[in-house]
Amino acid sequence: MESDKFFVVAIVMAIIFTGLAVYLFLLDRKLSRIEKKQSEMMEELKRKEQE
Amino acid sequence: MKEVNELILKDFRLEIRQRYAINGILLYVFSTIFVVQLCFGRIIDEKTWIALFWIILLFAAFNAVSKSFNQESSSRRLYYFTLASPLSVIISKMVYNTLLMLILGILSLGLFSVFMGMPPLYPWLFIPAFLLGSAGLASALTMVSAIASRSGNNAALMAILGFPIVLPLLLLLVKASQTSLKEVVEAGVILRLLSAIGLIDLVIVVLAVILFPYLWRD
Amino acid sequence: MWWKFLGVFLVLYSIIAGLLIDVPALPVIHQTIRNLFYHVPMWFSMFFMLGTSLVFSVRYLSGFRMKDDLIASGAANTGLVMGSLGLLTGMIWARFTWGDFWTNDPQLNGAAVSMMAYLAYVVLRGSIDESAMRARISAVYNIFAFMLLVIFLGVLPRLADSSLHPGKGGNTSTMEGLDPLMRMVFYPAAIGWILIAFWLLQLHNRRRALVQGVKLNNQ
Repeated sequence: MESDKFFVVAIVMAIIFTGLAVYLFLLDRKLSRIEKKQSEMMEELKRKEQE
Repeated sequence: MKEVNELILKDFRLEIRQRYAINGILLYVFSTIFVVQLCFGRIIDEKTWIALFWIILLFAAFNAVSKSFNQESSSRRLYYFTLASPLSVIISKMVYNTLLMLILGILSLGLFSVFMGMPPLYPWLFIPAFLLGSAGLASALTMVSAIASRSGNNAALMAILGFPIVLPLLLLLVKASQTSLKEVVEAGVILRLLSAIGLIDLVIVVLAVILFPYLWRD
Repeated sequence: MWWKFLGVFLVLYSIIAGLLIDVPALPVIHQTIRNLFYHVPMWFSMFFMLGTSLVFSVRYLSGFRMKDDLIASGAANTGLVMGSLGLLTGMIWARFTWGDFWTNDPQLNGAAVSMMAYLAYVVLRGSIDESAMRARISAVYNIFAFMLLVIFLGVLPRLADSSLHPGKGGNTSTMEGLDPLMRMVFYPAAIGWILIAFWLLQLHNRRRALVQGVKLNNQ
């Protein structure tokens, strides 16, 4: 078996998977930002109610 | 205990009064067996016999048990809730449906043997398997009917929910029936199959009894 | 957060190592045995997801918190996704190796029926409009569905006569028969994919929590 050919396939699949992982990571970060914004808005509302 | 008996009697009396339900099921069983007989004639391969028997029984069971929770309107159901504990309700329904299934099963068996002959089934395996299997199928379908009744009473939903749950039991029953085709079956094999069926029955009944109260309150 | 990176790393490792190491020469299967690193972790992930779904269904029934219902349904959905991938990859593997898309293997049939049960769970959820009742009823069904999963994947195959999979129906168990070099790639692969599945679950839950206005814990 020529392991060179396998090498190529391994690299290709690794690239594909890394791409997907990066996408997931960006999605994760976006969600975190929205969640943070939401909790900040909740804090604002609570503070306004106390005034 | 007395509550359970009362509830079973109530269901029984309801059934006698509204005979259309039981008649529908009997008609179904009779007509399907008749159609099968038309297709296959008297010469029928034994394995096919078993498969057909259990399929017809299964569909009749679905039909019969799905009516368990539909017959009473919700106002009456609230009335029952204040009177009887959910434990009594579920046990009474399961017992009632088991009896119903046994009657259906014996009837089907009879009709089958009339129309298509009866293959040599080792009784020590087949009869207990049949009894345990009917109880298990009835209990499982009762529980599924309870779940389906809380969500719109869709007939298709009952089938969708019920089919996967019924499948392991059905597979075991078919396997037990096929094994009972042999002349003599060793006690070890009988024990293994029956205890597998019994185990599944037990799990179903225990889960149903524990979980039914969550379905019952409105 | 760190476990997400670990998951990605482990899977990357399994992709590269899985294609480069030497595998034992087995009849019929030949090089496709490498599929072990990718196809099997799908099933493991599905099992963990559905187990999580069970846990949170039970938690819902004991406390009636909507958050538990959210996670339970999310886990069931993610589990179905992993299971579908497992089924698909298994069918393709089977087609090219043994000639058929489907065989009469009890574990295969069992896996398919178990997934049908969880599909029924999804249908059930879709048919109830009120959220508290939907949570309660589907939690009950979830418990039955998990029981089915256990019966189909654990109990029935051991009773069966012949099977395609290792450990059931007369074949030697996977764990004993697995080449030690392959083991070094397989375990990390399985763990990695399970972590990725949990990441997917978490994203799914967080998105739905935002949309539905449910509070998840760690905020």
